[in-house]
Amino acid sequence: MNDQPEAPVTPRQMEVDLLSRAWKEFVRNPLPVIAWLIFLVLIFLMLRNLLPQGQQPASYSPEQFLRQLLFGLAQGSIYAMLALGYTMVYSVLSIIHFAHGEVFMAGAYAGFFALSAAAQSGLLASDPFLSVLLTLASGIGVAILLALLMERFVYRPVRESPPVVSLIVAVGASLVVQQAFARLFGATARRYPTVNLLAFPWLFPNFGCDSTGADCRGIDLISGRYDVSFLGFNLRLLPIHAVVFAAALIFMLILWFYVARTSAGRALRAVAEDRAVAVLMGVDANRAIVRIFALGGVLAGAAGVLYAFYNHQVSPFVGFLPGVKGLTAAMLGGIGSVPGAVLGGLLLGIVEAIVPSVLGMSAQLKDVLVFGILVLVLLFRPGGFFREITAEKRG
Amino acid sequence: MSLLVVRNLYAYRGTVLAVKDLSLIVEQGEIVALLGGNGAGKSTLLHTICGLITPASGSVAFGGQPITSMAAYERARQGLVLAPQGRRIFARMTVHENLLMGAYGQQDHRLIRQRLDSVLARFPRLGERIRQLAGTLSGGEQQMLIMARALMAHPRLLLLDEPSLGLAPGLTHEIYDVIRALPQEGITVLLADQNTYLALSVAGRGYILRSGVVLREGSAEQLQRDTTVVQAYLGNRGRPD
Ligand SMILES: Nc1ncnc2c1ncn2[C@@H]1O[C@H](COP(=O)(O)OP(=O)(O)O)[C@@H](O)[C@H]1O
Ligand SMILES: [Mg+2]
Repeated sequence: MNDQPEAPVTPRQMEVDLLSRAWKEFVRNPLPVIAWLIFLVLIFLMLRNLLPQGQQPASYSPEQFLRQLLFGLAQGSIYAMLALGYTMVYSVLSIIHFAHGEVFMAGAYAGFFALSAAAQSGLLASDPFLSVLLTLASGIGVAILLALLMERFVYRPVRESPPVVSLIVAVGASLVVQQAFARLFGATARRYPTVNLLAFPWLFPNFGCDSTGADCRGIDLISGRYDVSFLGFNLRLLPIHAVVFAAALIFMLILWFYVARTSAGRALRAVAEDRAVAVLMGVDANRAIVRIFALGGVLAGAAGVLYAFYNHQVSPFVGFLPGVKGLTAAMLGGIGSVPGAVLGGLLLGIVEAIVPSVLGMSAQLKDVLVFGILVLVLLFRPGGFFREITAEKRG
Repeated sequence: MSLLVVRNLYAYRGTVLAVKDLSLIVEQGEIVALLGGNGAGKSTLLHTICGLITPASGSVAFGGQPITSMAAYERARQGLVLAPQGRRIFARMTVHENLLMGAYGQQDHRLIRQRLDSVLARFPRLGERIRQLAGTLSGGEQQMLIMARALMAHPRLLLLDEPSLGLAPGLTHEIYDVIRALPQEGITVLLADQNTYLALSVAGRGYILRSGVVLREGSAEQLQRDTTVVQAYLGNRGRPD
C-alpha cells in the first residue's frame, strides 16, 4: 500500500538541507566563517583608507628601522603576554577566550586608579618605584578577579556546549564589560599620570643630572626619551620599551617555570591533555581551570599596565585591538602552543612596527595588516606557522 | 567490612543503559575478575565506580563510606584508582612526569622517590625510557606506563581496565605477573579483561557480565570449570592462548 515513490527533492528542500548542513558545519568549526567576515571588513577598510590618501613614503632610514624594531619588540611582548592567555585557555578548554582583551583593559584601568591615588597622595613623587609596583599589583589583582568572574559566570555555564556558543557568549561578555566600564568611569580616554622613575645612576652617569651637574639621578625608565648616538646612528631611545620587554620576559619565565617545573603546573598540563585521566590521578579539574584563567589574568593585567605606561592613556575600549592582536599572535604560533604564542607575539609586534613604513603604507593601515595576517592564518594555516620550529605535538 | 560495595547500580553510557541493577562486592586483599565480551558494560561499571560517570541510581561504598556523590578526583585521593582502557597516557609529558602525575597530591618526596624506584624495578623498560616523551613509547610500553602510573598512587583499590588489550603474549604475562603480586603489597584489584583464561589465572573470584547485568558470579575455579558459560558468552577468547 505504501509503494509510492519517495517525493522528489524540491529545490526548496535542498536549500533547507544545505542551510542546515552549513549551520552544523559552522557550529562545529566557526573559524572559517569568522575569517571570511574579517576578510570582508578588511577589504572595506583598505578601500576606505587607500582612496583619499596620496602620501608618498619618505626615504626609509636605518635609524627608523632600529627605532621601529625596538618599539616592535615592546609592543610584541605585550602581544606575547596576551597570546599566552589565549593559548593556555585554549589548550585546556578548546575555546577562544575572546573577552581576554577586557581583562587586559581592566588591568590597565586598575593601574590607572592606583597610580592616580599614588600621585595625589604624594607617594609617586617620594617613592616612584613603590608606586609603579603598586600600580602593577593592582592591575594584576583586578585582572585576576575579572578573569575568575568570567570563568565562573561566562565560560563555566557553557563548558559542555559547542565551541561557537562559548565564542558568542564571550563576545557578549566582552561588550558588557566595556559598557560597564564606560558607564562607571566614563567612555573618554584618561591620561595616565606621568611617572618619573629614575634608576641606575651608576650605570648612566650622564643622564638625569641637574643643571649644576652635581646631583645625577640616572635614567628615567618610564617617561625618559634620550637622543643617543651609537655607531653612527642617531637614535631616540625610550627606556620604557626595554622595560616592557624585560618585564614581559620575567613574567613569561616565571610562567614557564610554574608550568614546566612544578607539580601544580604539571597538573595543568595533564588537564590540558586529558581531563578525565587527570581527574583519575586526583587532580581537581575545576581548580586547574580556575588557575589557568588566573595565570592568564596575571599576564593580561601586567600587560595592560605596561602598555598604558608607554601609551599614556586608558579607556574602556583600549583592550579590543591588543586583544585581537594577542589572539592573532596565538593563532600565528599555533593556538595551544606556549612557545608559539611568545614567538607569534614578538613577530607580530615587529612586523606591525616595521612593515607599514617599509611598504610605504599609511600607519593607520597597520591594524589592517594584522587582521590580514589573522585571516591568512585562519584560512591557510589554522595550526599556526611555527609547528615545525616549536615541534609541539598536538591533538 | 568489604572494601568496595556496589548496590543495584544503573548507569548510562550516552543514551545506552550500559549497567543494569548491578551489585558487586570486593573484599580487602582480593583480586576480582570482571569478565564479559566487548560491550558487556565492564568499562562503564569501572567508570561509575571511580566517579567519571554519575549513576542513574544505586550506590557505591568504599572502605565503608558512601561515595556515590563524591567527586572523581576525591575518590582518587582516597585510594580508589582506575588504570583506564586504551593508551590514555599523557603523550606530551615524559615517562617520568607521567609517573609523577600518578603520585599527584603526595607531598612526601622521599615516599615518591621510593615508589618510583619500586615501580621502575617492576617495569625496567620504563626506567630505560624515563626522559622520553610518553607519546614515543610503543603500545606495550604505554600499557605498562598506565599500570605503573596507577601504582605510583599506591591505591587501596586498583581498577584495571583491559590491561592486556592488544599486547603480545610475552608482555601480557609480564603485566599479569605484576598484577598477581599486588595483594601482597596491600593493593586490592578489580580486573576487567576480555581474556577470561588470563584473568581467572590471577583472580580468586569473578563476575561475568553481559549486556550490563551479572550473568554469573563465583570462585575462579567454578567459573573456569563452567566451560559452557565461557564458550557461550565469551567466545574463543575464553581459551588459553
Ligand atoms: N562513548 C560511548 N558512547 C555511547 N555508548 C557507548 C560508548 N562507549 C560504549 N558504549 C556502549 O555502552 C555499552 C557498554 O560498553 P562498555 O562499558 O565500554 O563495555 P566493555 O567495557 O565491557 O566493552 C555498549 O553497548 C557500548 O556500545
Ligand atoms: Mg571496555
